[in-house]
Formats: sequence, C-alpha cells, structure tokens
Amino acid sequence: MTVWRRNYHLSLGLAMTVRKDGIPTVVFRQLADYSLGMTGGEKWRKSNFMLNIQYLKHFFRLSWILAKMKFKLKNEGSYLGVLWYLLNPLLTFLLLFFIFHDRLGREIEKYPLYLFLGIIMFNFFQQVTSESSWAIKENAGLIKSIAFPREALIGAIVINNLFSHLIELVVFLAIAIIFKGLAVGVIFYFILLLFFCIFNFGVGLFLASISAYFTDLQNIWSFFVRLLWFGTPIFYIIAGQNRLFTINLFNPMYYFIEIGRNLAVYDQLPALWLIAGLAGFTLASLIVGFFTFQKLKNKFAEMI
Amino acid sequence: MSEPRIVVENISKKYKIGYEKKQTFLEKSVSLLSGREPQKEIWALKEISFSIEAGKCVGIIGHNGAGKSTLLRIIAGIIKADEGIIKKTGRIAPVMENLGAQPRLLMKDSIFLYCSLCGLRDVEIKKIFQPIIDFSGLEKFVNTKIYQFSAGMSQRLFASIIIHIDQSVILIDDFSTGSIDTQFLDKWRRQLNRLVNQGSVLLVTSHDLDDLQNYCDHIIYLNNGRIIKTGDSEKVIKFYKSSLK
Repeated sequence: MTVWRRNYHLSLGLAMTVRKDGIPTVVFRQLADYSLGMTGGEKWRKSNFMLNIQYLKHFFRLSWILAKMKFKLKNEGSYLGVLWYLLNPLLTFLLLFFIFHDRLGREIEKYPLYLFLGIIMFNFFQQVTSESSWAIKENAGLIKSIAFPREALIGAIVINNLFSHLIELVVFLAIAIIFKGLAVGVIFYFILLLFFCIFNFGVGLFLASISAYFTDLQNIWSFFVRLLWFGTPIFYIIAGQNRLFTINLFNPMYYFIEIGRNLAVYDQLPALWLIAGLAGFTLASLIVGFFTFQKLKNKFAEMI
Repeated sequence: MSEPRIVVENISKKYKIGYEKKQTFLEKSVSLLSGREPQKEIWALKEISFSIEAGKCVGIIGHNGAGKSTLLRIIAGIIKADEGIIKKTGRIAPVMENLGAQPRLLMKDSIFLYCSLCGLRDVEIKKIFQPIIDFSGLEKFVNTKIYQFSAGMSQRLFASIIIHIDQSVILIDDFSTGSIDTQFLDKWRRQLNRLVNQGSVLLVTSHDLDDLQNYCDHIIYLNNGRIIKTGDSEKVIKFYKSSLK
C-alpha cells in the first residue's frame, strides 16, 4: 500500500483524486468500487485504467456465464424448450399478416418480411427492457451476498435475448427464401445488431437501476412499451403522414427498424440521417444508462 | 509487527427505517394512497475503526441488530459505507450465509457460478472443483439441484466453496452455523485454522460466546453500531457477559 489516496466523487462519475504528493487530479471514476474478484490491495497500486479493463473483462465473462445459467433455468423441464422463443413473434406475425395482407400488404413491398423483421426487432427491445426492469429484484439473493459487477445481470439479459433473436432471424431467412426475397444486405444487418445490443443494454441499465428505487416504473414501462409498439411503424408504413413522421423522429426504435429493413429486406443503403440518428441514440442510451447505473448501484443491496 | 491485511477507518453507515410518526389526516391519507411510509434515519454503524494483521482470527459479538452483518457486508463491498474508507489486500469472497440464491441450479453449476461471481477464472475453478466436492462429502449429489438439498447440505457446500477460494480475508456471518453436523464443522474449522496459520484473516460473527472465546484471538463488541470494547477475547467476552446482567 504505497500510494494513499482519497477519492472525492463528483457528479457523473468524475472523481477528484488527491495523491499523497498533494497533486489533485481529475480522473474518470473507476468502475471498480467493489472489491470484485480482483485483489483489493492492487486497487491502490494499479491505475484506474487497468482496473477498468479488469472490471470489463470480469463483466463480459460474468455476463456470458449468467446468460448460460439463465438459459439452462429457462428451459428446465420444458419439452419444447427453445421453440417457445419463436412462438410469440411467430403467432403475432401470423395474426397481423392475415389481418393486413390484403390492404397494407399491397401497399408495402415484401410485406411479410417487412412485418416479421419489425416484430422480431421490437420483440428484442421489449424483452430486454422488461426483463431488465425486474433484474435487480429477481437477483436479490446474489446481490445481497456477493460483490460482483452488477452490470453483468443486464449483460446476461442482452446475450440471452440476442440468442433468441438470432433464432428468430433464421425463421426470417426461411420466410425470405419462401417468398423469394432474400437480400444480400442481411450480412450488414449484423453490424446494426451490434449497435442494437448496445442500445438495448443502455436502456436496460437505466431501467434496472431506476426501478430498484422506483417500483412504479415497471408498470409505467410495460404501458409505455405498448404505446411505442403502436407508435412505431411495425405493421403499417408512415408514407407521408407528416405528424406521425415528426413524432417518430424522436423514437429510437424507428431508426433501428427502418435501417434493419433497408438492409435485410430491401437491400438498400440506409439514408445518412438515419445512420446519424442511430449512432446518436445508441451513444445517448449507453451514456445515460451507464451513469445512472453507476450512480445508483451502490445501494442495490439495501433496497431489496 | 506485520503489515495489516485490512484497515477499517471511521466507517459509518445509515439506514432509513419506517417508524410511527404523528401525522395529520392529510399526511396519513397521502402515505396510504402512495404506499410510502414515513421514514427516519438511523446509524447502523458509527465511526468504526480497526485493523487486522495477517494470521489473526477476529470475532464480532453483539445483540441482534447491532450492526455485525452490515459491517461484514461493507467489508465485502456489497454495501457501500456512507463515510470512511476500507483498505484491504487480497481477494475477499462473499459473506457466507447460504446458497439459496439460485435453488434450481445443479450442484456442479452452482459451484461454477459462485466461483465465477467471486472472480475466479476457468482454470482456477477447474483446479478447485474436485477438492470442493471431496471436502463437502456430497459426491453423490453433483447432478442434483440445490432446492432438493437439506439446509445442512447446502451450507456444507457453501462452506466448502468458501475455504477453497483463495482469499486474504474470510468473512463468515454466523460462525456457529446451526444446521451443519459437528463432524463436518470440526473438519471445516480445522481447515479454516490452517488457512489462518498460512496468513489469512478470519472475521466471524457469532452468538456462541464460548465457541468464539476458544477460537478467536480478538473480539470486537458492537452495540448500536458503535464499538464498545475490543481486545483479547477472554476480557471482552467477560465484559460482554457482565454488561448483560
């Protein structure tokens, strides 16, 4: 223990560090407030940067392990197992398709693919966010007995739902082949998916941390998601409805789904303003989610 | 004198608890409708300071609600103190309580999960996996789910995991664990003793005073979140007993 320092936490994760030699420095606050698996003594010797790298590694590993465990628990004793993942989006798809294919289906090119991609992308978002809003309460036992990177709980949720999204994507490809509309752009869809995961992770962090304090959020969120489902052009098309378009400019799901369709259904390059919007929303979600979570995670063990 | 393994400096922690407050009719109806009760702050811990050198066993005694578990949780990094700092060297694993968090996992998966949560890598887990099972004596139940375990069995498993994770400060809440049979408890404590002799620090809480007097070098006596007395186990326990009368 050579360097003694005291961290004065300022807002938004910045911390002022005063070293023994008296030089105050403002640093990016270290993530590793917890003792973690890493050795606490090294906490005083290693740089914050190295600690954060270590923390991140621990986070990724744990997310993966927790996701595997969750997967095992989810399919425990179930006969259809993984197939259940498909049932919800598939039934929604069939229902909406039979209702709308005569009218909207004629207006919109490749309507089955248009519809199905919208449904599975929204489903991914909905699953991650609603599971996240329960994550802290559900894992009360773990949180109360072990100090580990709490973010991994949300990471695990994203990984889990990414897995089911990939299965749904296989069905999407199957539909594309059946309707003879397979687009090469599907390859680029995976780049979009990376951003989509980060975006969902950010929203998940935000919801998880707030709902640990503010229980009403779980109810508010499930209502809000339903509103968003109708507000986002999933089974319909905006096509010149100005007010709807203006509202959707503030809807991140619009950007993701629109770009997804551009790539995977219509084989087009998405417009630049769409890409800019997507990047903006992803970054904003990650930053807001991350800092909210950092600010609130220290009290999780007391709140549950 | 060796360098302290853990230094606790001026740790304070406050909790918000509900209490019966004289309210006006309006206040009462508001809290009834919103489901939020009036709360006040209490200090669960106030200005706690101590340091422990390598190779020592320290016991914490006190009434229920004196702040023993909160102190252990703060040291483990699960709860953050409102004031004060803790300096520690080496890994600190979870506070031992029970393994009930994920009851539907298989025993082998539980071992893997808990070791990973403590930050062990795959290689390290593989190394201690078999020893944990051997030590716990639960070879027959490796593929059994935890919810089918008896209370004693799951405590046995967790106790075995704790002593196999390489850590410098071992925290054990309720040292005289009720449901473990004496035979295993003796074996487990001998192993803990060995770890302490190798330089680990053992920090335990218990209500079994004689047990602590035999086992620990030092005792910290907590009451209402403050340290009342620390020092040699015999003296502190004598003081504690006399204060009860």
